[in-house]
Amino acid sequence: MSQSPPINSLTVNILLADDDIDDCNFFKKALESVSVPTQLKTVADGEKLMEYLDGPEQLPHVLFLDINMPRKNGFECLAEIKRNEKLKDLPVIMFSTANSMDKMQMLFKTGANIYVRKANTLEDLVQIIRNALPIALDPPSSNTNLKYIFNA
Amino acid sequence: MSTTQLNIILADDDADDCTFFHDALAEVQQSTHLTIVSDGEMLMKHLFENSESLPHILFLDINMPRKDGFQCLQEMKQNEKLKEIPVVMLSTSSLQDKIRILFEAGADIFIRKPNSHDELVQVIHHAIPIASSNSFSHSKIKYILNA
Repeated sequence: MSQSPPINSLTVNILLADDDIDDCNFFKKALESVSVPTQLKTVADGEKLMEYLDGPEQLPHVLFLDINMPRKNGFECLAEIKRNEKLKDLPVIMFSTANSMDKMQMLFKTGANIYVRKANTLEDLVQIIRNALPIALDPPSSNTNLKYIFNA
Repeated sequence: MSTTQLNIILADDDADDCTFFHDALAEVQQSTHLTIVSDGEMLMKHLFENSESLPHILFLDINMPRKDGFQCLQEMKQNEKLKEIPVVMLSTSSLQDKIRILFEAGADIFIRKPNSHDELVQVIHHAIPIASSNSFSHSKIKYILNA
């Protein structure tokens, strides 16, 4: 994968896959307070996500992936992404309201590196995104496969 | 934050782990000053005697003689001055119940000690800004690193 290194680019391209419109708006609002220039694109379910990633658009620098989505859930998308040569290096941050350890371990085994339990306040979400972005965007050479849980 | 020196205390009784931590911290791209104390009583004594220059971050091992990391955490959180220090708990095991209790007692970050040098460098590198962000905000978000 030859994505341009986000550290040097001016804008971090973020793709959010989430069917909940309120959560998408909440995320968008939080991004405005993160002191990094970002460009957000949202898709509303797993099938649309996979179509988008398969399409002609440039890949995002990082994907925030909600787990509970109609048509194709986040877990299925993650598994497909990690099986796909073109997509497997895309940094994926899993995003969910649930806090089940078994579920997290399964996601980690499937290749997720960061699991975020959705925050209730805007301030928390801003802080989470601010802390998650540099970790997700670490160059692949420093990818030591550490697993992180945010808002545990 | 990147221009000023970051004062870090490591409380750990295991000499090998201390060396391992010291070497990893040296590779983190940030100017740091590390103080090492080898048990919980020494830690509390050090904090009380240096209450005018408290550390920016405390890395606190759980299993220590004389006073363990959990007791230190509890004492710190009951103290007006010490309770503001971001605390990163270190442990070899990652038992869920234990982590929950540490978070409830006020710990900010839980790190399961990595086995490799590279992973330790990376996890410290990631823990520093996270710990700092918790000390500057009302949000006390809990993080598990190397889950």
